[in-house]
Amino acid sequence: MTNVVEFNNVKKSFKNFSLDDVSFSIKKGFVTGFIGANGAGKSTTIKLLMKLLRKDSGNITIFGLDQDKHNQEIKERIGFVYDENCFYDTLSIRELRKIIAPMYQKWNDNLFYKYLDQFSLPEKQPIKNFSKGMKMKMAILFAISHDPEFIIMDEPTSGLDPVFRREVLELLHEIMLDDQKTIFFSTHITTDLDRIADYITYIHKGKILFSKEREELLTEYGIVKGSNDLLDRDTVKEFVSIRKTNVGFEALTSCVKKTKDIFGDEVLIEKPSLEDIMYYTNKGDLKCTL
Amino acid sequence: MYSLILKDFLMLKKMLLIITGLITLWYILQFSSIFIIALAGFLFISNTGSFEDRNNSHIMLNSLPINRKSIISSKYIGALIFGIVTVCLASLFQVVFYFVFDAYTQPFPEVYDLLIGILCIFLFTSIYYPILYKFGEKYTRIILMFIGFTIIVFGNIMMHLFKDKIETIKLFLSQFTANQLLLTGSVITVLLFLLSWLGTIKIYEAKDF
Repeated sequence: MTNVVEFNNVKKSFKNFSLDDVSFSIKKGFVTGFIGANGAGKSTTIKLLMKLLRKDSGNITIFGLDQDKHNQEIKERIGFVYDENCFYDTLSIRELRKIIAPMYQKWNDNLFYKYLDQFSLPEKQPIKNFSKGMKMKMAILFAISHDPEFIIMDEPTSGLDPVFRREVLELLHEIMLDDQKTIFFSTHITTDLDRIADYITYIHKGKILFSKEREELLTEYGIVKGSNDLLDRDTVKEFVSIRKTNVGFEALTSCVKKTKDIFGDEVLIEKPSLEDIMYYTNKGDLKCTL
Repeated sequence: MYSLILKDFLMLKKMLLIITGLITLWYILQFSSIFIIALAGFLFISNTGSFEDRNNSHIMLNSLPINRKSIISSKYIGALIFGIVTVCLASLFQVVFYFVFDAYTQPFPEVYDLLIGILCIFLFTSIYYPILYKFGEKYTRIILMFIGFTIIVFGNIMMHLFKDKIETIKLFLSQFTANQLLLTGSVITVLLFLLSWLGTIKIYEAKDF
């Protein structure tokens, strides 16, 4: 299985935040969901991937090519959707096409008009009059009309209504029917990932905590429920973090097998959602109040 | 490159109409060609810079398969094209108004006036773009106002300090022909334009978005 992207020990520091030694890879032919709380470093990582930010150190390769040496060649094969509108808002889709289309060698007008029609977007209206959903559709339209091999999306579903969110996910699903395509998208709406993501990469406070296959992740992690009496100084160390109530505790384990060995039938172990994993991992930084 | 230049002209299509209207008005009011070309250039260039920041478009541009050098070069080439188009327009207007107003004694503007007009556009471009790409639109306005103010104050101080030596300066300059002075001015301005072009590329290449 080949990697489309490889991040090797990438560092980027700002005044109040830094990405620390980030290393991970994105598998070709799959959808990778990039999750993390607000301010965890999702946008910074994506901007580094798009070379919108200069890294302090480390190495990024895309399609096996060094990002610094082959920037144009790489961008030719990438479709990028940003979470805010960054198109000139006084121009219409028709005018933007005149500007953007000639920049891509593989621009496909048939594909462009097919999606324009599918998204029911007005071609001649200035985009400043568009709703947020329409602007996102338009950004996707321009990102996929050159038939890119790799699509990067920064929070494409945030702020969209459920109907349109579902439409975006269905579109991504349609794109993925071609097994040569790869999608990497960041989100904090984890239910979106339940629908389409094959891999999950999780960033927390500027560090990649894991980058794993979704199914594998949901098998390894588990929500453990049991009586508070089971918790002592040694057993609490087995959990990522614990939520304690009057009736008992609920905790996240990163190794279901080990938890079963320790507690046996005294606890109930359930399959976690991605949201559970995110919640408990974030909470994990807090000192346990036992 | 063509797309990037086209983008500036598409973005400013309304502004171009306004500028054409203003050029017409200034010719009716019989302003000097230098003033007309320079002011039209100032309006165009300062607007090509400001819409980029307003639209957050650096992110969009830098996600396309173009390098940062081309993005900056398109601005300088755009300024050059605008200068040439304005000179053609200015000449055209003078031809038209030559037949309308008695004040115009010749059908075409003086070549000197056209050249100085273009040099003014070059000079403004050389100053404006490096400041814009280094500090952003908001601070650029303040910096330009500060530069304008400094020039006025500094000019007045110099006039005051050298008021006794004005004759000497005039004498010094009179040993050169107008052509020599214009040629020197042109060479300096073009060099400044090229240096600014290279410098702005460096500034933009080092930028984070």
